[in-house]
Amino acid sequence: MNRFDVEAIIDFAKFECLIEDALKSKAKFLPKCVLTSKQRHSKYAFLVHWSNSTVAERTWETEESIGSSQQVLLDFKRAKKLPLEHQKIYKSYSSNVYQRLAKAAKRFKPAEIASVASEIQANVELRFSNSATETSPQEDFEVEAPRREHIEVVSEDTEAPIKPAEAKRAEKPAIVREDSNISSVTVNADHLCETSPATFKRLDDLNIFYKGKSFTIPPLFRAELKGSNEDRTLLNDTIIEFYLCHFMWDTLYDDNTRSRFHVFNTFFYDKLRTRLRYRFKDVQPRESELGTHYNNLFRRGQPGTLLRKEVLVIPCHIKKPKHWFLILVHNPSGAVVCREASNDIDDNNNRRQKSLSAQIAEYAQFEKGSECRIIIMDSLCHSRKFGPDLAKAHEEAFDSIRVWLQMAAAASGEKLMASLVRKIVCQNLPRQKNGVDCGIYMMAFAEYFTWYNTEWLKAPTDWLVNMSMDDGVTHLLGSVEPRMRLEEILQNFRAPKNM
Amino acid sequence: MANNAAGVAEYMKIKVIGQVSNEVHFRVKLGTSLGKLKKAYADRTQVTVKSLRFLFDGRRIEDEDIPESLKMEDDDSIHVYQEQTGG
Repeated sequence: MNRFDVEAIIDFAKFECLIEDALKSKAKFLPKCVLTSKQRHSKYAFLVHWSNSTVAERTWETEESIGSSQQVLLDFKRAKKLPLEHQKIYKSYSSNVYQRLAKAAKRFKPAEIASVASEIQANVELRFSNSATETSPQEDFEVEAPRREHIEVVSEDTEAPIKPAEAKRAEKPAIVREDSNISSVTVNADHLCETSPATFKRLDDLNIFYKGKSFTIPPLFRAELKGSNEDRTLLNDTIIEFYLCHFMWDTLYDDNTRSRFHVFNTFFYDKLRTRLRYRFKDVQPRESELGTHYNNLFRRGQPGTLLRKEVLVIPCHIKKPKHWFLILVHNPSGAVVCREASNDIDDNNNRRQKSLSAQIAEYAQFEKGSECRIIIMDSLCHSRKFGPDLAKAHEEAFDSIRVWLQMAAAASGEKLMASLVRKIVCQNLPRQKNGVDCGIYMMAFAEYFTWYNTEWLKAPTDWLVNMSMDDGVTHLLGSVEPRMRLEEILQNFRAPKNM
Repeated sequence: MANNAAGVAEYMKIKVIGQVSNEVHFRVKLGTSLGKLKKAYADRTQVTVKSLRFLFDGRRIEDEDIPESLKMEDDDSIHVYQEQTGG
């Protein structure tokens, strides 16, 4: 051990960030630190220069492995004004993380430093490009093999220590966005270390074939790095549509959910907004013509059926700034008051009668306390830069969708009270930490609040502004993990070469 | 399209409607793959096919689809949209 004296500490970083880097394979990491210390980890990791070693042999170490009392460490902490005592975080990483770290670590050049690293717990090598080429790269990029065939490969010894993480995972079913798929495809998806495409970043379009439809999916990552998170691409409509309208709808939802929910495609809002702008630039649409407008705009729609759904899921896209956000319309029929068929005659007497009966109906509705709630979920609404633009966009979206609801009601011979439609902009949802992940967040909101956690349906309207996701999911969403899982799903439907 | 006019097969008129309600009319055979129509439209508007989405009845049109398989009728319209990306 005395060969490995700490000569200097060069830098520090949050342990969690290092794990993320490792998963993105910017860094090499021996996974033991995740496994052995299970739930308690050092908050910071330090880049150590070892005595008698070269710069290339510098490694990242957790505080635990350096030993908190080392003078070098204390000096470094003082210089950086870090707290002197050992800072810890309580966090258990899922076994999935472990497996992928294991894979990343395989690429780590088995040099002396690495062998020591089994004693000292964490070991990250940032200069991975050269070591990666020396060890077998083809193994690392092997993703084409179907995962199922490899389940048996799992060695038994990884089994036991993983247990706590698994238990933790079971408590939080919502943690993993695409998890239900993985676990249904493979009984024990935690043991996929051999084939998990942990480090795989596709850079070409991928053609997938899903239930008779083909989709061309652009890459989720790009080759060059711009800043810390910016190797991620913007998601386009094809990915969103595949995931929300097809995969989530067919594979995740059960029949009951399918009968109560409706997921619109990404062009619905685009179309609605453009047409409303184009047609009603300055004037409000006349109430008597709403139904006609609906039929002009959406010729084959079934407005009545849509209004009877419990939740309408509308992915919204805006162009300035290029952005995705989600709108959930809860209980559209709550704002509908039925119009009596006999009142259609336009004679003076009758009109008077109609307004009276409409008033009564409205009052009855008010008494019942039923209302329609339009919930806007945006991962960027706190942004200082885009906030004002987005607030305007939310306002416009709310107005457009309310008009749409009115038109739809009118087209099916009903009337929808605009005053019973409430607008909620959620304030406590996870926020994106970069300029590229809004699509991921939007899909996560849609999946989480329509499938994993639908408690909010029963919550009072005033509370909805506080809707939030649990910490595990929030943490996961900021990482590269959702894209990896999405990629895994996409790879499952890879189209045959000749297509 | 002009060279199709001599054929004996049945033709139908299809409108392709852009986002600002600009229409382009096509005369196609019932068995023509709509991929061709997409390409023709893209050439005309000078954008790549990849960045356009063609929807009929709310469904995406794939290259292999033909008017017949989609149960299109004369004078039906296809809506065309730009690719959406966002971050």
